[in-house]
Amino acid sequence: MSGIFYQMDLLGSAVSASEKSHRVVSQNIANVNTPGYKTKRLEFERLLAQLQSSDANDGAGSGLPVKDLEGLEERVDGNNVNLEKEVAELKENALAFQAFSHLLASRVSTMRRAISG
Amino acid sequence: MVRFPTIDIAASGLAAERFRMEVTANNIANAGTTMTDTGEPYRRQAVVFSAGLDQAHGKQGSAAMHGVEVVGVEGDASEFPTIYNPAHPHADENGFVKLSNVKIPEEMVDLITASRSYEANSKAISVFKEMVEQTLTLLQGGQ
Repeated sequence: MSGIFYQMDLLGSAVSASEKSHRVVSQNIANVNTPGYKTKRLEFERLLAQLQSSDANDGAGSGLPVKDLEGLEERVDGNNVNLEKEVAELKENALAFQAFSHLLASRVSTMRRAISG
Repeated sequence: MVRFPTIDIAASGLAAERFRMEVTANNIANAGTTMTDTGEPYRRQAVVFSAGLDQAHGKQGSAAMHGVEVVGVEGDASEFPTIYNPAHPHADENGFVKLSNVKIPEEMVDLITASRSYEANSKAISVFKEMVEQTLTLLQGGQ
C-alpha cells in the first residue's frame, strides 16, 4: 500500500476521526451540568487504526473508542468537565480537521494536474 | 437525508439549558409566593440532568453519544424560612409566616451558568458548521 490513493485514504480516515472527536467534545459540553458526569476523550490513534483496518466499519455512532480523562478537578456534584478546556479542545480539533481537509484538497489537485498533464 | 449526530448532541445541551433557565425564571417569579394549592409556600424547583449514554454496549469504553437528557424536576427539600409578621394574611395563630425557600442570589448564579453553557453548546454547533463547510469545498475541487 503506497502512493496517492493510500494517502487520500489515510487523510479521509483522519478527517472522519476528527469529526468523531468533535462529537465526543460536544457530548462533554452538553453534560457540563450533569452530576457525576466524567470528561471523555476520543482515542484518536485507536480509532484511526480501526478505520484503516476495516473500511466497511464506519463506526456509525457506536463503538467509539473513548476513555475517561484522568487528573481533572472534580466539582462537588462529581462532575469534572472544565468548560474552558473543552471549548479550547473544540477549536483545536477544528484546526486539525482544517489541516487534514487542506491536505486532502491538495492531493486532489495534484492528481488533477497529473491527469490533465 | 443526511444526519449530523454531533449537532443533535449539542442541540440536546441547548434544550436542556433552556429548560433550566425556564425553571429558574419560574423560581424567581415565585420567590414571594407564600401560598400555593398545596397550602405550603412555593417550593424551589431544580432540574435533574443525566448523560444520555447508550448503555447497550456495556462498558463505558464503547458507548454511543446521545447528549444530555432532562430526567425530571424535583422540589428543593430545604426548610421554608419563617418571619414574624402578624399582619400578613397567611400568618399562623402565633403570627409567623412561612416564606418560599427560593434564594434569589442562588437563582441568579444558576441563570448565569445556564446561559454560559448554552453559549458553549451553540459554539459547538457553529464550529461543526465550519468543519462541514470546509469539507464541502472539496466538492468544488479543493482549496
